[in-house]
Amino acid sequence: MSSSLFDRILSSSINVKHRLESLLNICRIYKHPSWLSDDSCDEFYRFYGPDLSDIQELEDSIVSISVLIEHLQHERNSTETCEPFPNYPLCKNGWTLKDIEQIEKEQVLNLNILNLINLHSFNACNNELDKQQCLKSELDNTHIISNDRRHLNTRSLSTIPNSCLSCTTNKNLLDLPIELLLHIFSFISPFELITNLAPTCRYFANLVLNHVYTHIDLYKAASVFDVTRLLSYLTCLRTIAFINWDNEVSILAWAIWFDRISKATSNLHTIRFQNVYISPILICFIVEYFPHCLQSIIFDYQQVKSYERFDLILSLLADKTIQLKHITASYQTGITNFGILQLVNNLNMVVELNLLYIEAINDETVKILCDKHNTYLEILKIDGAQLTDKALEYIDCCRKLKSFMIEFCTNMIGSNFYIFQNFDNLKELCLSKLTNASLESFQLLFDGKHIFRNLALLKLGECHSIDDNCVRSIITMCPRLIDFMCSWAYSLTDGSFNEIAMRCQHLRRLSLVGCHQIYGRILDYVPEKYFHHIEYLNFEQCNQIEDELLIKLYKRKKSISIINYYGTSVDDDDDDDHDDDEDDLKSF
Amino acid sequence: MAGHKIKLQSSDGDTFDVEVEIAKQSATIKTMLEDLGMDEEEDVIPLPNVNSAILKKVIQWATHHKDDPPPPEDDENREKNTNDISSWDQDFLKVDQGTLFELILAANYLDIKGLLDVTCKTVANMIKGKTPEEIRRTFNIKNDFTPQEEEQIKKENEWCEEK
Repeated sequence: MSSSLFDRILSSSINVKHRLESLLNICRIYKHPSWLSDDSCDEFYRFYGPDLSDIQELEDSIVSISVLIEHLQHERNSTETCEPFPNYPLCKNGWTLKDIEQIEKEQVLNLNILNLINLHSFNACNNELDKQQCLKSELDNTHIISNDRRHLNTRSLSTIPNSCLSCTTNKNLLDLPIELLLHIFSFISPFELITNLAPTCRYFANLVLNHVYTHIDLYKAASVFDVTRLLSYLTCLRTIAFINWDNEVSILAWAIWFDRISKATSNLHTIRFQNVYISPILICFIVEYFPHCLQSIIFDYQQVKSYERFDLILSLLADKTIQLKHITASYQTGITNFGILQLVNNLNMVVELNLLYIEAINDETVKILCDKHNTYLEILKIDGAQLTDKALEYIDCCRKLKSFMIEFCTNMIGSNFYIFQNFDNLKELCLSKLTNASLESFQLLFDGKHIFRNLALLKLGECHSIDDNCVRSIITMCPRLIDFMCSWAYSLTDGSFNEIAMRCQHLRRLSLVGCHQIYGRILDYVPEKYFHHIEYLNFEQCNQIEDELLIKLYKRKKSISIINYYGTSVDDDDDDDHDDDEDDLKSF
Repeated sequence: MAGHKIKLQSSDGDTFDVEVEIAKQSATIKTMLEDLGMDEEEDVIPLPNVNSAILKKVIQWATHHKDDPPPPEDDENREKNTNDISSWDQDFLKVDQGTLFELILAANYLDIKGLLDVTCKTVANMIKGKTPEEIRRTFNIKNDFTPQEEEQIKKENEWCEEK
């Protein structure tokens, strides 16, 4: 007994095994840089590649995938089709051969699918609610609008019976060609389409599912089986996020999910993982199933327990066949130059590389990255004390850079900061916690000659040396700033703050954390005179700015989000002591 | 030049004299005129996909909107708004559904973006804020889901609303 899905999974599992084996070989023969003598500190291995525990991990993964292959083959050869897989750890989701076969037979659209999407879009809303409490107002709005509409509709159009006229063939809504129906749907929110229109009939249900859902956030709100069925219907899926699945999904279930997605759509270009346990086998399956379409992969910060050998993950992603261009693996543990170099050397085109809080990348790696990808690289976010001014020298050739961020480079002086003037498209520049960058370096960057025409975001975090004059030239040289952050610049005074207020007309976000010489009296004229577009102001640890000033400002324009000295946001509760007391009690 | 006219012929053979500037709101007709050099007054442009009643409505709409600025380019990021239908258009579109859908088809065929948008928005407004059952009744759509499936989705929706 075999099904084609079953066969595909079996053959891709065998390929996965080969991938793991070839990486294992690379790791086994890998020589650490020779200058690392035997007695050097273990810590250096953190920067320079695989050690015994990585090899062990790969061996374990190979055992796991072999077990899966063995079981699959055994199932296929056995005549007992309904016997569940034996209880080995890789298939804790309890798939049986029969289940797998069933998936492919299922053709008819089930209303359950709509329920599932409902659930997910609702979950997504809910998530938003937690973040910014926006759902209520949004729902209220739609409610009001829909009531209005109902009123209008019943009176005007919809009650006129079809037959009362005249010229025509009595066309029905369903007679319109698909592209016109989609044009009509484009005026209706996806949420309403799925909750109200899709359940009217199968035709609309299919249409909505096949054309409206280009993105889905898959929360752990449905069973692994339900998700499998859901995925078969999303034929226009382009981006998918797996959220909060922890370690719930077995290897086999991932393979089945990916198989479903790749069958339904050939356009999936982004996968994001948030609070999902990543494993080498999972990554291999991604490479197996989406070599031609996947362009972007994002590993979000993992709240609970993260996978600790991310070097292997990067190495496995670095496959010559995959079209991956955007990689975000900030905050992940276990990344070394070995993994990054695998990526850099094997991928055809690196457009975006986000590796913050890794603190491993060194100048040599940056050189190889820039030598190979300088014509593609647009976004680069890296950090760590391994980077020196030399790294910037290499980066200078990446003239397409739009967004650049370096952090925690304590060994960087910034003697060549002027290179940033060479990037015509530069929109975002973050130079944070470069504690040894001197004032001269920043003066070099904003030298009064080069105007950063496209720069919208500038973050200078904990660059203590920056002074009033420097801020003045920043304002002159960056006329389009929308988001400006300059924290712990102790010498800043009201002189430069006033200038920011008066001259940065486009500014929406401003953060001056720890600038404790600023009094901020000019805020009395906000937003009437200055900062017309301001949305966010952060004055944490600015001891001279009085709370009263901020509260008054908040009362004048409530849409501004203001952070006060204590790092809490200024809101309506601040003038109500009683509320504050309650809050305090709660926090105890 | 103003007043210069062309003839449009509907599928049932009637011809309509229309000012060129008005007719040119239809990108289809505009292209025909430019590509084929059909600017002589005797020329008749056949429109085999539009009947007389609908063509009359389309001309009426185009005449009213002849001085409108060109519609803005579609921007994917812009929120699509269906509350901006002018009161003239609202009155103009107080027609039976059959005519409305014919107008959509004609606007699409003649490539008149403004008319296509306003008719599609009107249909969108007829869908918005209605329950599935109300939508079915409005558009005479047959429910082809089984009662069990119906029951399920109802439960699910209740759960959503409670939350």
